[in-house]
Amino acid sequence: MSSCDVEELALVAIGEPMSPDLRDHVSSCVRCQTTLDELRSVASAAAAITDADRPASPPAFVWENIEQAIAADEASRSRRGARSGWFALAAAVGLIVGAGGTAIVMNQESAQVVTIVAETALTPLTDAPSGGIARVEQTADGSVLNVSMPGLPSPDGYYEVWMLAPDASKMISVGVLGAGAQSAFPLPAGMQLADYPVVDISLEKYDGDVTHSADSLVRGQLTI
Amino acid sequence: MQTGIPPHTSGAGVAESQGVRVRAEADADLASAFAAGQDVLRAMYERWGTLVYTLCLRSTGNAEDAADLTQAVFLSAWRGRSGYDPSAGALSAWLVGITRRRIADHWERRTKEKNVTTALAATHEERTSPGTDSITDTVLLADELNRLGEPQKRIMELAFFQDLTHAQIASVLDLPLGTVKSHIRRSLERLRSRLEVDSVIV
Repeated sequence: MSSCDVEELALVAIGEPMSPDLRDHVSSCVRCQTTLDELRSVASAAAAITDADRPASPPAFVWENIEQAIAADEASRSRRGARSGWFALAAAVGLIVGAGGTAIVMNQESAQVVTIVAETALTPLTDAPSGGIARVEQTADGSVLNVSMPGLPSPDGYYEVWMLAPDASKMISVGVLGAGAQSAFPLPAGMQLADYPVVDISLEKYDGDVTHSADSLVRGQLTI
Repeated sequence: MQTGIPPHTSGAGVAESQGVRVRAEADADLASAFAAGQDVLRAMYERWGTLVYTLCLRSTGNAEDAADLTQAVFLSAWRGRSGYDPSAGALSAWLVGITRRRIADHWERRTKEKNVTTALAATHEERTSPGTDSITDTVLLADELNRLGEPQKRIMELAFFQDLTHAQIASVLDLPLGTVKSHIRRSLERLRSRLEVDSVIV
């Protein structure tokens, strides 16, 4: 064998022995060496496929949530009540939207610009029943933290919303979560969001202790 | 979940390469429509939703996280559609790139959450992020293997997972030796091009 024979190279790539003729040819043919290397690496990667790598279809609700989120995007752009549109999205989807970008929602009738500064999914820790979403908005009146947390059970105590440094070296209590699924908390004007990017909801007892109980239900770090 | 891929069961090489070409053209059409601002997200989801979800599932090991990440990937793609440049690469590669960044963000967030948790003296499950490069490749290959028609798929499975030689495969499947050899070569080349197209370094 003295010419390039990719079929023979493919057989070698899947582990069959190389004939002396083919070996002689490959040793002097750069093109065949390259092809053999490439086919070998594909074959060895493919041989490493396990059941976990096999295609798995996403559950149907994934697309439904994407559709709802896009519909909510459109709605918040085109009509008054951008905030309610957003919360419908947030409650339905519970996911992270921002990728460092700043979205601007224009409330057309009042011409008030609400800038979405940052947002994050609130991911359940331990046995919290569900997650939620938190979003910082900049309005003409200052910064507001909007929290959407549907499905929390009635607490033995109360739920408190915190903003923390990533290492929890400092934290601010921004308020007590109301009974409804959504709450809005004004943020201090001088607060640097980058210093307190972690949104955390804790279960607090009526014990007179104003510090964090260390019993967190959900948490998320704002994408700023 | 697949669209635009006619089934080719004849095993003829010509039909197979036509099928690949038809799919490549359909993918390119989808990419131009997307770049032109058309609403083709549903078609993209049907074409690549399973791939994105499988990558997320494989990387996180958690169906709930994988569902959240898959939503985030397609929403990112939709909201960032003006950032897609068809001349810079295949739409599938762009989606795989977004998926890998989302997965990396997910693990970064997990690590930070763990730090906060440690600081708050709570106890949570420890997890570490596995490397995503080799996972991406094996998932892409598994996806492409699944798209091979028969008997190509069966032939390659016997070669990869049972370590059979082409002569043994020909005997097991009762096919001519030349046919088996030809399928092995074409299928390996097809798997190789899939990695070339989609396994982007991000």
